[in-house]
Amino acid sequence: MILAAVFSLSLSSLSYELLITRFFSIAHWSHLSFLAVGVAMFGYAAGGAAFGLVRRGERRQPSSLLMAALLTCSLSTIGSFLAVKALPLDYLRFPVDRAQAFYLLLSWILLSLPFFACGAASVAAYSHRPDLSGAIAGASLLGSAAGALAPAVLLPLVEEGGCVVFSALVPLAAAFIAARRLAPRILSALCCALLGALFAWQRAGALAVAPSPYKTLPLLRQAPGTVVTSRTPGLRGRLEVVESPSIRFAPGLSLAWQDELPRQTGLVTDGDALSVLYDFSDRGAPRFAAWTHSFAPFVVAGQGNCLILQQDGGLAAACAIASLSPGVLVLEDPRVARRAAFQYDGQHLRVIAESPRAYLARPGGAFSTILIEDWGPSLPGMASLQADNLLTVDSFRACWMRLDRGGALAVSRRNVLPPSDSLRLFSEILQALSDAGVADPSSHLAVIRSWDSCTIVAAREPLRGATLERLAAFSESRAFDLDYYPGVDPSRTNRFSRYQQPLFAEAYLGITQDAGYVRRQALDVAPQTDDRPFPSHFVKWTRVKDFSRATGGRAYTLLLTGEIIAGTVLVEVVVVGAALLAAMLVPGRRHRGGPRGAAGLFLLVGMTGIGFMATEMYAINAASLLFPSPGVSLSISLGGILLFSALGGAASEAVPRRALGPILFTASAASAAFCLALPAAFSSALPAAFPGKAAAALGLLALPGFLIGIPFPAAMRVLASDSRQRAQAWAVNGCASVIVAAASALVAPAAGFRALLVAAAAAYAIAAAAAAALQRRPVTP
Amino acid sequence: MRLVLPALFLSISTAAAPAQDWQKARDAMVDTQIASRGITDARVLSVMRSVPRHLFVPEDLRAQSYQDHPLPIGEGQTISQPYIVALMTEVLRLSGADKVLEVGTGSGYQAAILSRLAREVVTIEIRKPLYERAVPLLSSLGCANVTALNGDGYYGSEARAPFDAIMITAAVNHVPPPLLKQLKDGGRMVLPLGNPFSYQELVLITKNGASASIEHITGVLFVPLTR
Repeated sequence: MILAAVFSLSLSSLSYELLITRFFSIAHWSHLSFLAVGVAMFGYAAGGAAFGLVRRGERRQPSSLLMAALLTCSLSTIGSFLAVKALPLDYLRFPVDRAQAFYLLLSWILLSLPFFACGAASVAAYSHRPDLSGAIAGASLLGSAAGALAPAVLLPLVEEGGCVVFSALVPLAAAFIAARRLAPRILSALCCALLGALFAWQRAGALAVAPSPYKTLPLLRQAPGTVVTSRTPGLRGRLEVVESPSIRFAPGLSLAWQDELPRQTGLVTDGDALSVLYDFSDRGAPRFAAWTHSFAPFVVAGQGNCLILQQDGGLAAACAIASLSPGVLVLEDPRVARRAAFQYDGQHLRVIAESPRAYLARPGGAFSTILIEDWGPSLPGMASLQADNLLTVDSFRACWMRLDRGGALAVSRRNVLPPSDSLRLFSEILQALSDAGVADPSSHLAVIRSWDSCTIVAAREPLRGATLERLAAFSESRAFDLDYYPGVDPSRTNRFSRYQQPLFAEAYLGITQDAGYVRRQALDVAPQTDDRPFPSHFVKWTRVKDFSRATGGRAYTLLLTGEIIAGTVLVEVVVVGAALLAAMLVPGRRHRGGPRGAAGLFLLVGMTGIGFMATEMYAINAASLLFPSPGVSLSISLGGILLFSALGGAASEAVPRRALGPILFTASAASAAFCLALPAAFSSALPAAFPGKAAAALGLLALPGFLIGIPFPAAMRVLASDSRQRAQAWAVNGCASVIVAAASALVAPAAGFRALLVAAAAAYAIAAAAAAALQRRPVTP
Repeated sequence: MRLVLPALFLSISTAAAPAQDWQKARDAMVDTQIASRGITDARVLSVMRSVPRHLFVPEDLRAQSYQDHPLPIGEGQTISQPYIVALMTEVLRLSGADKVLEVGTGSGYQAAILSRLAREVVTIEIRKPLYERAVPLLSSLGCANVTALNGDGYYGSEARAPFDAIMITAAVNHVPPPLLKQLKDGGRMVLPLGNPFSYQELVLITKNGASASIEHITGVLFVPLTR
């Protein structure tokens, strides 16, 4: 009963945690999905703490406690989802509507209830059966691994609402099977039937998550003639295909273009981020693309084989067709590839579903033109916590190596003020060229700008002579500003789309001429690498005031910035965690002068919480390089590390007290080794086919996953003296995990993911020292 | 839940609202948010002082009508920050004899402002609920020179073209070619860049025969940030 309950609760709650991220991404904005981590960890820690505080739980039969937890988890999962969906929470009304703070708090509390039940049940299990600590940890981690995989499999089949019903059904089914008495069995059967009815109801769309009314899709839907023709939910995002006469996507289109645009099919992810597939059935349709600045690389490189790296459609395919390139290869997101191939059938254009980085890592032919299309988020700041390995120095270097002689690489992006986004891309390409051994990288670059966006071109040969003249004539004829080129003449910049001063031109020049220019910026525009792949992260905590001033000085702007949300969540979890721990750890009259070594135990389990979470976060990001879809990556890496941790947890039952210190030292060393070896190991696995990559990822995660699964359950078994101390240890471990999860969202964009593994190695080393100190003390009876 | 909670917290919101002296609030808005940020056109300032912005704001947010931020008006739309409304209006340099096209009526507030500074205003809104809300409001304010249309603003109004000035209040990723065609030679078109909830700059396009010049109006937004 105990193991089945812990397994099903863990499965349900981790699956629900992932669904909460989907809920926030669709109903609100993706950076809010980060709240899910805090919600879950708060629930777990609070549940454990509550069990420790309400001492009556110890005297009750564990089966009745677990039955109550299973029913509570199930009902609160579906109840909290329906309640939060019904709440008039509108994030963008936050600064103008005080009630919104209450709605957010209420959402937080409601959503944490299933995790509360899970946390309380886990502590109850550890307290009542300390001899089974290893098996309980194994069941918990195995359930979590299954919970990580469940949404990846189920989302495309039953959408978000159906997955929530599934998450609610799992503990109920366990309750029904495990119930020995008739009453709980009847109750759980009734609940199962109710959830079954809800599941049927959700098929009719009743549980569907609606996007924020400010997003592209709801706005498009208000236009006459708009129809959503298909919907593909998934962990990567909910992709909807939209037909509408109001879809007209042509960023960077010259004012000189006076004709119609081709018909377009819209692709929106999570109700926002519109991109398109063009209808080229009319032979003249792609002509407009030659009037956008994204066409510039074809002016430099001429006609030749072209590689397009895009996610969910875009303008680049139109440019390639307009250039009459003889062969065009488009690497597309798997969800869109088939549709794009169908749409572009009849053109000399091939679409394959492939991860750009994996494709580039494989040996293969060179291309005359490589286009990366990524216009950036619809709202600046919203994507600041999103990792993306396509816009990094490593990615640009890989592209550069696949260019043929005379070829050109280009990336298009929206202009953002203060100049930041394009500055970062510019300096990343400079760095990539420098790393590739190019003697004078700045002589290969040009930037063409329209009123709202720009294209950065990097040519294989230095830009000069006839090539440069062609590019200048192209820009002139379309009224684009040539903001940078080798030997840039300031009088030729800022002519057509004029700022009060040539902001962008001066900045590009500054980057090429002044080594300290990037560092001195008030925004973080430093080049991003695979270890720090956050292309939309710009906040420097030391210059937040400048950032606020530069963006109009309104609280609104700060609230739309992911880092600010992450910072707020961190402060919140630190305060709540401290309050919970204070409530639990301040000894009552009965426990004054309690067992010796409690501080050492709490230090040990706290450090293992930090180490485990930091390692997990690192592994998830490292694996994201390998797979085309972040959802697949998340499922494999998180599922894998939890699975091996479950095995470690099960194996911990055989760990004697004296072995705990050495295991922790090994975990510390493994984290450090992992930190050094994993990026290279994953890079070498990049060219492999999917099964090879999955095997490599799982193989690489096996040892660290196994090792980090051992310490916590072993410590609970051999070091905790009584059930109160076990509950306290659980709460300390949970709170430490919460804080690390929240902090990692700030640490990774600022210092890179490797910093997390360094923190993990340090945490395990401290835990090992604590274990060694505890070992010298006599065993508490 | 949907009904009870808002009702419960509406009292909190309204209890915290400033005194409902609208004229005083408008004057304060013009002095502290608009004139102080460099808007100098006396006609624009005068109109901003006279048009009752609070009538264009949903009732539950009315107390904040004259504060320094945009406000949601339903249908996923917003009424712009007062400063942006004034800045967009000023850069059009209306003489009083102009015919102006506004794309995206929204609440109707911008059209009401324009109606007092132009000879004729044509405003187009694609969302019917907003159109139906704005028309009677504009009429009740005596904006007789405003023609409101329900349709796709991307194509402008061929029948009423050419225009001396065009204002696009909706987000666009390119300048609609039909609108540029409907702008008179020497005419001015203004559009905001960025999201109203985030930060915005303005793009001013001036048509010069077959070509056009583009100027970025960053207003108070941007200051160089290196040190």
